[in-house]
Amino acid sequence: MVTLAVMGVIVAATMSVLFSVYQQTGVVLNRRDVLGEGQIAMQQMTKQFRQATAINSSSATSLSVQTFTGPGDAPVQIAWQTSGSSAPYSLQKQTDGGPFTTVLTSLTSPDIFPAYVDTDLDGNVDQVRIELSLGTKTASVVLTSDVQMRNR
Amino acid sequence: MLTRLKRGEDGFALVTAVFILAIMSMLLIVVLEAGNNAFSVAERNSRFTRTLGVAEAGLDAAVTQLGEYRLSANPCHIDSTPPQVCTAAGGEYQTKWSTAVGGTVTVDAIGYYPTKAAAQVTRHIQAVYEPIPSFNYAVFSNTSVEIKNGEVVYGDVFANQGITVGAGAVVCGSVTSAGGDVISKNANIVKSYTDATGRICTGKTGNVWANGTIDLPPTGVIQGNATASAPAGTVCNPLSNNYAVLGGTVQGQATACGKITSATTNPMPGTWTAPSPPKTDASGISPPYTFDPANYTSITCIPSSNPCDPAQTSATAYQTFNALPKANMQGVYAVWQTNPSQSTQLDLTGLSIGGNLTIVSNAPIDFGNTSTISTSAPATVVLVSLYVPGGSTTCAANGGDCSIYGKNSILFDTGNVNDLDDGIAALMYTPGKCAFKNQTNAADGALYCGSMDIKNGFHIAYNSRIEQIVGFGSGGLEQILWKEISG
Repeated sequence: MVTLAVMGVIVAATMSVLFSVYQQTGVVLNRRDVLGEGQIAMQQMTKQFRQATAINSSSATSLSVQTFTGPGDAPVQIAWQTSGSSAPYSLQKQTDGGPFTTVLTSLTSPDIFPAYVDTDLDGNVDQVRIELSLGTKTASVVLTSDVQMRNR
Repeated sequence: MLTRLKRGEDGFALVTAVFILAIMSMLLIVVLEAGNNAFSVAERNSRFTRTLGVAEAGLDAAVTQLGEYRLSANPCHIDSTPPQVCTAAGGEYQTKWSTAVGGTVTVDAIGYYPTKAAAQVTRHIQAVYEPIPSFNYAVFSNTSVEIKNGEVVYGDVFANQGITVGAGAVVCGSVTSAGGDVISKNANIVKSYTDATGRICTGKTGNVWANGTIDLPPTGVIQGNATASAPAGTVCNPLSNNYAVLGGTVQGQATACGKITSATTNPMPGTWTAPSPPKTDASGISPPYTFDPANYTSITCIPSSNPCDPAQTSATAYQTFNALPKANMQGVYAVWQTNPSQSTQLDLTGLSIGGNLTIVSNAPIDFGNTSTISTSAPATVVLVSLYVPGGSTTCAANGGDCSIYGKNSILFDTGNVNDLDDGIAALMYTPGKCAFKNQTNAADGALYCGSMDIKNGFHIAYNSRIEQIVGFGSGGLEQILWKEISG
């Protein structure tokens, strides 16, 4: 009986630890995945907007530009937008007028382009702020990048 | 039996503990690995971003170097063998550049983190630069300008002294006199205009600015603003005829240090306005020109020297040039004459254009018997005479000691009058004197002379194709394109 009791306590404790660790592992992995997706999207957007030669349309939730995507000489149209009516919102990307494809689905705010700035006061927007508010299982993490558009 | 069973359970706690520890260790490894992975991603991003900074440092260094001297050696050329690198904060970079026709420079820069030899991150960027625009006026004179009767100028006019606009003349643009009066003889300074050929001019200011009096006849019209400024310290008097706006009609705002008699709304007499500064430098004309053979991809240098050196002159350079065929001429010619004078002028008789043409010389340039200058393709023609006649000599419509002279009606092929991209865009530039004798001279482009005498006018339509001509101005470059090739 004593043995069974001790075993029961040990098993309960073990299960508790295992469950807790499992949960924490899930939190960490979720955080890793969400942040990883966000960083990749941020990197793509930063690179594309940095080289943009023209802004086709812009709002707090979408931005369409002409930009270079490879070694070619001609800029192509690239658009990024958020979709959804409530959190989590999705981040979508469009290339050369094609269909929008979903890049990530964990945004807590649809306003990913909160600021467009004309830093040299020449009447043209030359800096855009990207703000990805990413919802993980436990918290919201905000990635921010101010991109200086080199061709404007 | 009971004893054996009891003895058989001995140590089960240790086994269980080891088992639990093993499981926990595995989970701990997973958690740590996940954390480590996040750190690695963040570190990789950081390196990636830092390497862009290194590559851009290379770009900046190259442009600074090119701005100082186009022929400067590249200490860390991308194609160097063995590889040579330059160091920037956080990494190393290599660069290379090439110059195209028109002075466009393409610079490539590759950034390496932490070093080229052990590169973990490489980013390759490319930027294209053009000379900073130097020519904004259709007509520029370091002294005075007279826009002759009936002449039509599409573009802005600037003179460091007074400007006279003849009867029936039209300036579709602005008129700025930095050091004198602007006198209009029944002329119009307008914002938009269409001439008899259908050439359309729109979107201009129609402003007149004088560091003196603006004097209009009763029928003279200024469609933009008229500003009669005065030197600093002038006591403005709203009843004075000095620094006044007199006669005619000013459709925009009229402001004068003196009085205003023009028909206008809301006049502001007795109001001091800072004058437009003169645009001049030691050579007597702005922008200054600096000959640098590295600005040109290929050059015919007379006499031959490599690199082409203006100090290497020849007493027969003009003869060598004049012997060249002038039909379908194109390319870059630099002619350096010993003791240049009117007897050593470059003769452009029979000139026709086969492509972009640049002629730079310290000798006078004469169009000879040329009248119409045709082209077989859209082309930019740049004629630069650095010849400055002596102060006691004269250069007038009938000739004399001129730097650039046209006896006949010099008519550059403008192509479709409303197409800025076809035909010839011509820039005639001299810090000396230029003169044209007969009427119906015409060109798309600009006329920049130290002084000018255009007897019967020169119909100039400013063409922005000549705003960036290599060799003029500060030599600075402005970026027109930036892109990442890889990374």
